[in-house]
Amino acid sequence: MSRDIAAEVRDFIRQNFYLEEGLDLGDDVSLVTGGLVDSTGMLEVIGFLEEKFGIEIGDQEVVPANLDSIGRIRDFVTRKLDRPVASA
Amino acid sequence: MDSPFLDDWLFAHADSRPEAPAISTPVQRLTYGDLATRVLSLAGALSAQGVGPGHRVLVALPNLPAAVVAGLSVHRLGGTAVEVNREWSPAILEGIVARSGVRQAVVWGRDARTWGPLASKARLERLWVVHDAELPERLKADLGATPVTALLPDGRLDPSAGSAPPAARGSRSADQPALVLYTSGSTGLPRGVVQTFRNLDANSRSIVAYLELGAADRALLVLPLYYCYGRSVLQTHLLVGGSVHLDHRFAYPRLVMEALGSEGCTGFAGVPLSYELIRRQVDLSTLAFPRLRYLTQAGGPMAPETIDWVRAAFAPARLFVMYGQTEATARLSYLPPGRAVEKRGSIGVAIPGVELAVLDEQGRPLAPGEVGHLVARGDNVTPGYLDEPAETAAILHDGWLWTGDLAECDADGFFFHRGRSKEILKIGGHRVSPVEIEQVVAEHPDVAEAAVIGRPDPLLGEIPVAFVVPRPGCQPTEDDLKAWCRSRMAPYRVPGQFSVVAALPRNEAGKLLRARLVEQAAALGCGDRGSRPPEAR
Repeated sequence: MSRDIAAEVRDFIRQNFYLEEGLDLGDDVSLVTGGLVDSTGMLEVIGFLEEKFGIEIGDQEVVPANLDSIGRIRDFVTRKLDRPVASA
Repeated sequence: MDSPFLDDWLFAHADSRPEAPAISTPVQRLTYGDLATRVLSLAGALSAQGVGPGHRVLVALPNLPAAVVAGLSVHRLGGTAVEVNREWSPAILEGIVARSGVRQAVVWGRDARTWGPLASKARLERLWVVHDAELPERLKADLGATPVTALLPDGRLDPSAGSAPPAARGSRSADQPALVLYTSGSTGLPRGVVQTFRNLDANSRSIVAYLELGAADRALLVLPLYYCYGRSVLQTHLLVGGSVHLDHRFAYPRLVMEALGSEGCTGFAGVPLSYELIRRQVDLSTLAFPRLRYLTQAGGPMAPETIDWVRAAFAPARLFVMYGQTEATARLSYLPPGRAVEKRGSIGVAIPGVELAVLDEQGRPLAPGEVGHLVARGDNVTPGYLDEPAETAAILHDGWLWTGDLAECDADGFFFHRGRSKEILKIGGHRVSPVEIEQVVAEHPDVAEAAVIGRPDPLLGEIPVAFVVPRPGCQPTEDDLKAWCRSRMAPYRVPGQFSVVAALPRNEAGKLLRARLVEQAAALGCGDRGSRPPEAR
């Protein structure tokens, strides 16, 4: 069964960071430069991804290309899990 | 360089070494020549819009060259830059605008939805709006009817705005306010700390002396420029003609650490949280810092084991543990790295030009080893809080600044921090009044009264914990209360835990017994962490 990684991550970010209702949290919205997540917040996102998806994220992987939007996180987690994209 | 004025330092370096690097970011590089040109240009435009000697201009920007240019341009005209955290709530920003009497503000385009209504309500004469490109129509609409001039992030005026003739240097004196920086007091809203040109000059020269800074130095800055520590890094490098690399990517600490090496930085400034994040997230053994000479740490006590880690991980670069506060411009003491082992846990000795003492309640000097009030004097001490004579009188007596910290001094003149005499929390380097948080929590319709205390936190130093007495028949949930706070205060102030209790512990006179709550919080153990300070961005 495939998981909707993007939706799980989006729910976590919405709830954990108390984002306003109606705030655009599309796949391409920048989490850090958009001001939604800061440095300690990113630590929480990494902790969530490791626990939720059972992956380990090395410090060299903590870069914007992997983590700076919901879409990038989905692609990154998908690669780590070595399976096809669950949802587009 | 004898002048006490920062902009004079800039123009002297621009004359003698126009091609020398001044300010950079991951995407922009400004030489001293570039910086001087931009300051002249913006000062001309500000002057054409009526900004002159004694005027206050608010600056609410992220760490960009434009923020540096804005402050220096205001100084050039003899004005005062009121520097604020753009992430503060609209209510706090509105209070600052009203109380500081600013008529114009330099703001970040993405904050248009905050500044449009606020500028209109406060009847600001003009907004200077920093945006990556030409202002989109939607952004202009959000800004409302207040006149707007566009600026680029690198500090240039938007070319479409035309140009004004360069402004003449405004008349000013060394004792005139150069900056207003905000800090939490023991009550209500943040207070504006006035810093004069003399304050900035004196503190910059002291820091330059003990860090042995010179024109070849290049600091990596992740701390905000509205924060006295970040500001002092900028000012000291402007004084000596060195350069500052502004890096906003601290959410990815490895990228910043890579830049520390690849940008040839000689210094790094961090609060305890900065170093905790680096320690947890970056494998430094894979990185090289060929020019790194020193690191500094201030913004609250750092755990001894983290200090040991920094000293080992960045060796041979030396760590300077430092202490200070906004009311002292930035810095009051430093621990010489050569004495770090012998004086472990110390905040060091007074910086050059500053006198520190430990006094009892009546203001009498205490002997070495006795804990009392830490006081300071020197040209770096603020003349006071902006338009708050009572608050000013509470910290300045007989020429001494009462820091609000408790300390003892050993026989060698090394000071040791022993806690605070005031009820102020220190969260990730921020001073936060528990009263401010209590007021917000108590406004929740289900809450009768609230008390907030600090609990030690390995990452942030301290996090706020709230005790809440519900109104009869009400059962506020932790999620409700967090969401309530989240929408009304900066994220780092939001309590990490809420405990609903039947009553708050008070003495016979009705005074809240915070110590009792601190014990209760310790007994409750760690909850989840809801506080995320911006200082490590």
